[in-house]
Amino acid sequence: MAAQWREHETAIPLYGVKCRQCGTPQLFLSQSSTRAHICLNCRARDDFEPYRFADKSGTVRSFSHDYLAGGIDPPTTAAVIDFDGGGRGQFLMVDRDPEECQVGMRVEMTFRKLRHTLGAHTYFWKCKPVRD
Amino acid sequence: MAGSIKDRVAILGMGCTRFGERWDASAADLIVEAAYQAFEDAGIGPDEIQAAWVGTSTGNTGMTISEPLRLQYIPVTRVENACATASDAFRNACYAVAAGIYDIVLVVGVDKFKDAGISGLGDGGTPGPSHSMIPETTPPRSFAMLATTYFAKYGLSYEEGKHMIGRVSWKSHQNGMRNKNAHFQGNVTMEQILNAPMVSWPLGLFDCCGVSDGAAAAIVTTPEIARARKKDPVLVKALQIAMAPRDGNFNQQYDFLHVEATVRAAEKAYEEAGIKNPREEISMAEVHDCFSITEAVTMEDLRFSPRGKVRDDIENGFFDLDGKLPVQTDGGLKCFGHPIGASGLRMIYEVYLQLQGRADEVLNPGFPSRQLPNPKLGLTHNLGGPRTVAPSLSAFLV
Repeated sequence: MAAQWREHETAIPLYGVKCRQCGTPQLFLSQSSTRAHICLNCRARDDFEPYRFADKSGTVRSFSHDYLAGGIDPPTTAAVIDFDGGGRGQFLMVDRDPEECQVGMRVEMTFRKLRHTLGAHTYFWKCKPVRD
Repeated sequence: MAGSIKDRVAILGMGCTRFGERWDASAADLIVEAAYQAFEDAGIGPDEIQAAWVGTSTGNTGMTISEPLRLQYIPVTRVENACATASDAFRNACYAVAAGIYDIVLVVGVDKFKDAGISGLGDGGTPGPSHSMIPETTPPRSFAMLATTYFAKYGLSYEEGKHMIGRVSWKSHQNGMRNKNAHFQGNVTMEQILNAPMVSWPLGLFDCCGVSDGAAAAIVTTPEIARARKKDPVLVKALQIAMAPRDGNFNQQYDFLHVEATVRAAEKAYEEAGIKNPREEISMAEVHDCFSITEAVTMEDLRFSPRGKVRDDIENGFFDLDGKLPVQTDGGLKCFGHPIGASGLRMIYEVYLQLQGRADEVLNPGFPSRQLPNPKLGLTHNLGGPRTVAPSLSAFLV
């Protein structure tokens, strides 16, 4: 519970930060923390403004289909997304045919069911192909 | 300015257990097996050991080895640094001798994974009620992304890419067949490799190393002591580690075509050892082939192959046992599996044997010699990665 409370302003609305000194948008998403302290580009400390990633589109840098992971929608497709305007993150991909995945494809973000743990459903951001 | 380890420490003796499904042995049993092989090889007894290091991801504190070996009140440190644990344990032991604090020290690496009953490392997700929101990932998925990007960037069709990485595993299995300590000693064909079930696209079953049980040990000393007791001992030429800031998944500057930690550790190691042209000067290498694509990319990161060109070298047999730069001469992680705490030391063991002309001590009966003709410089590369593709560190013994 404590971990989820610490993450509620970052993980749920998919907020990262933008460094005030070098202007680099960045997410910090690990299982031990979602709070950036040191800019990954210029290494300035704690000089950020909040930056919303949820409404950004992006381009797939890489992906893989995991056939052993189980999950809601096997094979589990994970993709690294380079966001328009800067920043990157790795997310599961949904609403897609594995065959259509390609490096360079365009995606947008969506909030979906992630897992069911000890009687509770959890949700998180995933990406999906941009469709006209 | 950092100093150099070159020619300041020597390996007096080593041991290595058979790796694999060691249902017959606990971690403690494996530790005793490896350590006493090393004592015998060094010609010393445990009472001459002044300090010890143990590399393990599942053991706990220095007692992991002081208990089974009944070490008598000497300093013992447990080292853990993901898949590079054993190399880092070795590195720490070497620095203690080079610092002039100890004359003879012991390093043991050990892990037992097979008792868990699963074949992979799982996803490392946080268990229990305070489960993080963040999804987990898996090693095959993380490293598979190197392959996805590599195939796309260099214009390899799916078939061409699969054949390139499959050929890497094929070569390692050919070598593992000759090694009586390997977990997997079977003859695996290219057809089996290419038709194997998918694990994480595009990596199939034979593109992935398995988990395993095993232990290895080394006794490290000064070159003076080593020369007094052995003819022409093996000397350490370089030890480098590069720990990534782990921002590959968040920083658009990372290209998913290389491993920066390997590149930087290699640069420093070559400088420390005085190597200008690794492709020409290195006689053999044991690298971290957790996945076939990892080995392929590592050949470029180590400057064995030009960037983007490793496919030619792989397909031409450049890295085969009878090639110009043999890699994974013992079969690698592919055939030994990956008991995390032991792997780096198992790599050093193979270099140690080959450099001394003793490779056939572990030859499987009925197979041709696995000894390389006159190797001079051996390199080990051990890559740690807590579920990211910008992994933590690489370490070298040259």
